[in-house]
Amino acid sequence: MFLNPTSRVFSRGIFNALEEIRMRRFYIAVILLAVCVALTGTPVDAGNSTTILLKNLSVSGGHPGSLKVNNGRIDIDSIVSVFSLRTSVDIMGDRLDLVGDGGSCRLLLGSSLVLSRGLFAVLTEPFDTVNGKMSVPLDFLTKALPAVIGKSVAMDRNRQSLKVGPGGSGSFKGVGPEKLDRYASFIQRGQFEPQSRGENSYEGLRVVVLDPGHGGRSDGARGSTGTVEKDLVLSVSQKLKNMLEEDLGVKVVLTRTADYYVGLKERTAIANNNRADLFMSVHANAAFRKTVQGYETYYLSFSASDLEASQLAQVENKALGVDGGAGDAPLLEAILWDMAQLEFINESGSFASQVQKSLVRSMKGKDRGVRQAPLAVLMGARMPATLVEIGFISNPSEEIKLNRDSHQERIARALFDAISDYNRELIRGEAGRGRP
Amino acid sequence: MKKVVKAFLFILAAAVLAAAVLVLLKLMPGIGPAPPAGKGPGAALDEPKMVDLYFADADGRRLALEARELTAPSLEESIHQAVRELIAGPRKESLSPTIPESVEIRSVYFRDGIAYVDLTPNLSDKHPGGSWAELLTVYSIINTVTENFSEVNRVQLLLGGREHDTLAGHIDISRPLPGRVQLLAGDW
Repeated sequence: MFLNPTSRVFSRGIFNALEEIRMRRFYIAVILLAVCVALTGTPVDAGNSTTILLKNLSVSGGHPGSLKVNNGRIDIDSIVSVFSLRTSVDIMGDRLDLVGDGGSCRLLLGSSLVLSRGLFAVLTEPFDTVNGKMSVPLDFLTKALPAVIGKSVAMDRNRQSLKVGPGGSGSFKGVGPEKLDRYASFIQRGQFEPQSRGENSYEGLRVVVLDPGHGGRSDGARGSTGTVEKDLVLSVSQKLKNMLEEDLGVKVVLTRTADYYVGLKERTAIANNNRADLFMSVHANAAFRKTVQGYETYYLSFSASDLEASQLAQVENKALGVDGGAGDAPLLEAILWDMAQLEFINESGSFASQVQKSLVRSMKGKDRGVRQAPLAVLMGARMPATLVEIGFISNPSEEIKLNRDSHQERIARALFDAISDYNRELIRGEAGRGRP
Repeated sequence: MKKVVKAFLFILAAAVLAAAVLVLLKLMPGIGPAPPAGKGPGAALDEPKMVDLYFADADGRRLALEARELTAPSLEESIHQAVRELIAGPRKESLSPTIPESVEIRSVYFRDGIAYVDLTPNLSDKHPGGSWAELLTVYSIINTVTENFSEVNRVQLLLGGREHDTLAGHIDISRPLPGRVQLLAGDW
């Protein structure tokens, strides 16, 4: 009998994270106070301001051009040209830096988080490509733009015009990573829904990234008769790829297609850069004792204390710095990487539970449960992500089965069924919802 | 004159006796006055200390405790001893080891609330390799150190003197980690 532990595990994970944060409230309050003091020093000079109307209107004064607003979003191109910004895109193509006279900010494709001056702000929608154009939601103009152009920016109540004041420095309405709990509670209450990753999110999965674990110098687990995890999981992943492409018609990208080494962060980056709608890392299990057997499916756990202890102290030093460059904050970038999966944790938990259910049902194996753990390969994934352990290679009788082509085929089919179910829910608009 | 010699001999004898007693006291710490009860790093831990080692249960689902008595003169040496006992494995049949036997401790040091436990890199190759087994290995070490030595808030695991992202490709160990006693119940 399958027990669905997902919602219980999920709420406990967040609860623990919140509790750890609460224990550090005092420390956080001191930092926040310091940040507030720093932010209130924004000069206001309305005498010489430029007004920009938000309906593709020409702009007078120092910023000729127009801002193209479409469905509450603004094309990055028009922001860049109106405010004469410089841009730089990182080599993987999933980060965009905007640089102006006042400083810079960094946007991550598919993420609502924007980084500047050692802080991050949460936009109402992600920075993303819509109809082939990169765009940001309206609140980018007031939350992040001031820090880039070094001028205050105010929007009128009707969202009709934008007042760009002169002034020596614009503020960045960001917070430190200690606001993680506020962000998490948004997601828990379901008020924040990750926005469409394109124009047709309710048409189901388009790109699935499968990650055969290990490879090259990383063999992974080894069975007593010589079965090597990296070979086994590649074989199962390839079978699953074929099923998904033929029967579900989705595009499937493998993080490796043969026996070579791929770094853990690189695997997640492949998923992000392919704009995957789903990420599944396929592994074979092992234990110290040979008798252990069964199936496990994982999704990422969050430990707020980890974020804070190692990084917050250093963030504190950087947050108050005068230099506004986003590039000076590799630590914040690390936090953004850590937090990326948080947006999708509901969907990840729900999907992990479907995978586990399907495996246990069709393989008639021992259910070792859906679990949360700090798995390095899932950190930074900006889509629902899971890691599945398809049986214990360290158990001699499971090892023999795992070597059989027919057994691998059945495992791949069980994983296919879970992805197919998830896809159906996605089309119905139910994925990751309706749970406490 | 005889009296003077007698008095001299008496004083000499008394001095020799006093010296002998002092030497005896030093050799047998149980007899002398108790050492100051310092708690800081490097403080003497001459009293035997009971610690709970975190091994795994037979099914590899959760961590489980087994007690040991340690006697080490310093915090760092106590941690060293506790980790050595972890590597040696459990005595109870019902428990399972969490670290391959051939792993050795390169060094243990303590600074600013963080204990650095540096193990030989063969921990990566000799580890069985499952996600949960790796999680139990990592937290058997971390919990054993944080839960027995109150001076330690976090543990940074090192392999061959260097930080690594993971031990065997799954669990993040890139930064100093706090303990997770929930693993005694099999929960993260």
